[in-house]
Amino acid sequence: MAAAGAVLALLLSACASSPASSPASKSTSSAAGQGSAIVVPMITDLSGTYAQTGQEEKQSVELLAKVVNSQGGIDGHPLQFQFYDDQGQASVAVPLASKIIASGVKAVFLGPTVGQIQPMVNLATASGPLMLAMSPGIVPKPGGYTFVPGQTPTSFAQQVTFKYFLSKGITRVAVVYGDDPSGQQGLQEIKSYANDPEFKGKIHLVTIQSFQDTAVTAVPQMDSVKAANPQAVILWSSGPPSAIALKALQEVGLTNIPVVSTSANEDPPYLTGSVASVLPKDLEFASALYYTGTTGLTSTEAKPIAALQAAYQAADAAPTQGTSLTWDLGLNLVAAYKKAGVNATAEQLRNAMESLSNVRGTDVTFYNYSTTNHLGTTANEYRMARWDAATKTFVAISPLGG
Amino acid sequence: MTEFANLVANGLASGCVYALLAVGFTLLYNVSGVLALAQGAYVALAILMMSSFTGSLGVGLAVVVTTLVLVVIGGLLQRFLIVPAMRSLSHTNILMLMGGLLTASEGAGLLIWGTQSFTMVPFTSGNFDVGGIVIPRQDCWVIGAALTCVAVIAYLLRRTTVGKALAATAQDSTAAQLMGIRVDRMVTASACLAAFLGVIAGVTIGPLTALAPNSGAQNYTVFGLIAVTVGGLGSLGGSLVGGLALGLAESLTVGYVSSTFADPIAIGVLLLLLLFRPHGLVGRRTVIRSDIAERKVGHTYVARELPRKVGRPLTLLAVALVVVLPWVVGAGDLSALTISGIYCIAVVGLDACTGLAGQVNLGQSAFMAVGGYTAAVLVNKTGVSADVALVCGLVGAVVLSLFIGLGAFRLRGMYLATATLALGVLAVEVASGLDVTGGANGIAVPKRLTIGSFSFDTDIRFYYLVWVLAVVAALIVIRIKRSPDGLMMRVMNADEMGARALGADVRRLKLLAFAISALLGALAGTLYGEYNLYLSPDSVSSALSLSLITMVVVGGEGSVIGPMIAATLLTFLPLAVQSISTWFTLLDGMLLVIFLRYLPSGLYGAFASAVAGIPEGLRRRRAPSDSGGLSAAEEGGLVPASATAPIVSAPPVPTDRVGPERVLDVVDLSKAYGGVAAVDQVSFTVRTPQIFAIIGPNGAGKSTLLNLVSCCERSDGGEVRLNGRRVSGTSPEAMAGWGIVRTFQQSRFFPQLSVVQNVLVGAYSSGRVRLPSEVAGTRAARSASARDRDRADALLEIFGLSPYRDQPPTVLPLAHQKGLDLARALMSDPDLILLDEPGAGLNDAETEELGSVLVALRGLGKGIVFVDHNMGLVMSIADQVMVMDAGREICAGSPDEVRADAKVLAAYVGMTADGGSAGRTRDSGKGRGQRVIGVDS
Repeated sequence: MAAAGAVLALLLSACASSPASSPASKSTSSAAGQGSAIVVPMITDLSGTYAQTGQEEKQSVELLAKVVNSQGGIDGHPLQFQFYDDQGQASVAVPLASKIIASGVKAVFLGPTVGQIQPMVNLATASGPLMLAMSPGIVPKPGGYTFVPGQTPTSFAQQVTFKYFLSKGITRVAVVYGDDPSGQQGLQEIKSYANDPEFKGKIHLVTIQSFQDTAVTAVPQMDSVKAANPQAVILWSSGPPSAIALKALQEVGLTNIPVVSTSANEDPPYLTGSVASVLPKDLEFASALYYTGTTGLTSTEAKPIAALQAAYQAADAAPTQGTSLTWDLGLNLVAAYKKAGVNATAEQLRNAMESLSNVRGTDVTFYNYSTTNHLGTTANEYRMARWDAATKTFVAISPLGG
Repeated sequence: MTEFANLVANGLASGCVYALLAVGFTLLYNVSGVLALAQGAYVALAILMMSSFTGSLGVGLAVVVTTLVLVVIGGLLQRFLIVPAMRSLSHTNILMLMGGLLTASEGAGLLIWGTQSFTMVPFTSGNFDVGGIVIPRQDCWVIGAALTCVAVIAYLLRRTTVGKALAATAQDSTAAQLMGIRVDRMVTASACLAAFLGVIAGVTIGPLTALAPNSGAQNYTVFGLIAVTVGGLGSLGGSLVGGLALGLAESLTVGYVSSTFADPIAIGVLLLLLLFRPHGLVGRRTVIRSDIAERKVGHTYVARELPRKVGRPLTLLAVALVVVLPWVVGAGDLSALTISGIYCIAVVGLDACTGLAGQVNLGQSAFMAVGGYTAAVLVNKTGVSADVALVCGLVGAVVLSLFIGLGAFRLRGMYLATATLALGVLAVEVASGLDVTGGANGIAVPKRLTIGSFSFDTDIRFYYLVWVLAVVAALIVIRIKRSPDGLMMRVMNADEMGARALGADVRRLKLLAFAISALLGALAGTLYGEYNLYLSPDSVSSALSLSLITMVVVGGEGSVIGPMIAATLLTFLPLAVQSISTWFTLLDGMLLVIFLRYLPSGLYGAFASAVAGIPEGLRRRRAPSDSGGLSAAEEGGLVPASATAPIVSAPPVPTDRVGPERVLDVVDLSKAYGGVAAVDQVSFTVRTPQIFAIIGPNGAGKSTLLNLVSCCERSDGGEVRLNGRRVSGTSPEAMAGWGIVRTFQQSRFFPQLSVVQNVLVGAYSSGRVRLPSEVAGTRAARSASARDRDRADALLEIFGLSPYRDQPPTVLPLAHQKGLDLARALMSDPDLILLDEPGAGLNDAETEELGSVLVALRGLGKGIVFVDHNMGLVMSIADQVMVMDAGREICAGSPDEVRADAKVLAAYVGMTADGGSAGRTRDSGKGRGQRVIGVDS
């Protein structure tokens, strides 16, 4: 009987090579010339709890491929993405990644959460492929094949936020975080900066509260926050849980102090959606560049941002901070291919990525993998911004670096 | 002080949210006896529909449309899915089916509403501020809704005709049906009402929260479940109290202890409550007669086994495939096969626990977490080798399993399911909250297992390691399944009291079941971490536990091999359906529903049935070679036609009708249920050999007396002595060990065993080979097994059951079912046999044959105590007769003495000795009464 199962399993696995959706950029490949396509797989959550993030990542590279191919592709070769749905389960992600790696790909995009990405990153062999990871929880090993787009933006965000607090005389800060990988990492970074000589004794974390992403309400936590009498709140949570936290803030009447949140919430569709009714008066972010406009940038520096916005506008969609990070990672891959050649091995591509400097991005001004050890960027590329609910835009409230 | 007051106020407000979720559970539980896990789906769907409709229809019309749609869906599901399923499935399987519906609802939510989170605009904004205590106005809607729902439902159930019909249906659906209540309609109506309550909860809670279509329903179910369990299942007041207690505990824990551990602490409290006060804070413990408490609504389906001539070649082929596959498949398939193998190990353990032993385990992932994390932390923090860490993980999981196993002594069915589900959630919460486990980011596992100098560091090596362990685990569990302990686990699965009456130490068996589950779960968890070189809470979440349950159900509960096949298929399925991946959540839930409803014995069971030529659902047909009724005992003893010696081995002492040895003394035995004396200071003595009959009108306390004598129930007073030794207060399994066996009023066969296996389990108390020997297949074990089989075959022949030997007992006519009871009782060669209405339902010829068997047994020196209403049988074979009425002995003596006793006549026909009425109207006319007790026979 087990034999029948195994045979069936084999039959099923024969179907498993077909991706979740067809290659993205066929429609624009004519402009890319006659070269064979450079196919890059993306494994992410197209269904499951974090499907929204996964879908945004998918849309981002689809649009990027259109832009790249409309400009002639990579040395005449069209860029194509193939999408695989890990359904938020490592048990699906790992076989998918194994199969894709075994097929000899040079680079693969991995998203969106550390729970799926980390075991896939572990599959990289001495010959690659390039692992382009889209989670703040991933810490690339120097010399390895894993690269992240402005890795630990969480860390940079806290650094920028703390500098901004000091500049505004805010010394009593409450921290509320979602008990998920992003929230826990955010807390670690916040604690780290609170103990940094630059901020120690100047900024006090008056209370630290957490809530589960399965919570129905976070009112008890916000009660404790209110009792601690903070001057500002750092809310490190995204998606539906963050909406629950914002609701709870409103319920206990904490709407008049600044609330700084994760850039995952720096998303106009989200902020103008049903959550709009519970937003605090002063909602701030350590912001991505393209949100806060191109003021102070040269026209060359502003060009990628315009391209991103045009691509999304054409698709009748709006970019988010997360999608711009994915976009930027794609831009860096394109730059590496152009540097190493379309027939480069994964190792050559890795070396090319490691040598990239001043690649212009949309989330930040420049990426410098040559100096940031696979992280891509530094805190100096971020600045604080406030959500203006009336105009539905982000307004810069600090210089770059906080 | 203001902070405390605010925490309390908000805790109570949150508590009302939980209470509102709990009320729906309570209503359905009260009417159908089932925990409706799908209740959270109505709440979530109400929020989503309100979010969608409010903009275009306005709040009022949106509420109406949402209510109509969900109430109709609730009613249709109940009428055409749940009600039919309740007739055929056990409560535990219904619980799983509900879980499938819950998952399917989230899948439907994903397809319809996508992945964006949804919120609702509050009906009323702003807060009340009373002396610094801030209460949001929207909370008042929730508080009002919770209190109103409890009050209205309580009024409905207690004061209205429909409510009383619902309550009657809940108490006893058969009796309610006989009274003219349309039970199906009542259950469907309650489902509509529960859906309506879900809408109310969704509409009022929605503005306070945010919801992701593909994950919200489970949250509402979990919190509602915790609230209803804390308060007390079935108690409306308990729902309110449970919800408020949960809200307060959570709020105060956040305020004064730790927000990180608020949920783990709440779940820990739930587990402790379940263990020490399973009826909750408010619910009342229900006392039910133990011999009927075990009856289940539906059936426990355990897949039948394949014939050896089919199974063995297929198994060999499967093993060959396992060996060859890594060399013919690609890296991705090798990875999927390795993960399949790891899941196979986990499901084999789960199947032993849930499929074989019937111990519902919805928290197998907790054992995986304990094993995996223990090993990972030890390797990371102490630098011990991976093999030592593996052993430590296994030990840790087994220790946890003992805790759960101890809990399983007190908890059954839905309570046990809730406890294990909570354990799974707790394991993930703790893993997410602790620094040492890497929190929600998970922990790196630096190296794979090394044994000696051999490292399983390549994927091929690790694949073989996993599958060798999976095959060995399966072989061991199959050996256990076929051993006496395994047979008894399957008996326990269907009927715990039946197992105890056959001498099974159910505590030991439950511990064994959970230990196997934990050991294999921990092994799987450790291997999973080592394979990925990483372990995170997501990898061992409660969702995985539900997936493992799905694998067991789809494969075929109790078949061991079936769940392995399902684990392999369901691991490959997400890879195979990439093009429709967003449908997978819906598909996952529907698979569970479809299999439970239409193929409850799973893929393996269906295949085995097809091979055996008995199509699913047609197992109740009569066997063609029915010889009919009990076969007469051979003269001079019980001797099968093919044997030359009596199969019951006691030396014959047939000279006196009343023997000289006092074997059983019952002195002043008493038992009351809620103030009603079921047995009141009854005394009697049984000798060997002797046939001692207990008669009396219905409700006289006869069966209760047998329960007390066999220690199936504890007496309130008096004592039972066996061969002069006080045995009251011991256990039925101890009694079986001392040579006393019993049968029950309703024939207790075990449908998941074949007829011969039903007889074999009777030998359980008569000395067993130890389980390790059985698993190892030692000569002693083989010899004991052969001896038992010979004896069972002989008994089958005596009772005319040989033609049915390998059939399920469901095909047996009533007379053969009675014969099966007796054959099983005789397997252990007991000294004293207690029979509860062995002649019920038999025709005259069959009754006569039964009498012959009992006389033959007496002839072999056995003592027999039997309860029966057939006066012809009683008066013709009994040596002593005791008559009971209203719990008291009213007469005892020889059959002739009893016939002549006026009190007996009065008890049966409601007349006093002088011919006046004793106020009883149970029968009419003296003549009929005389016939009843056999005066004129």
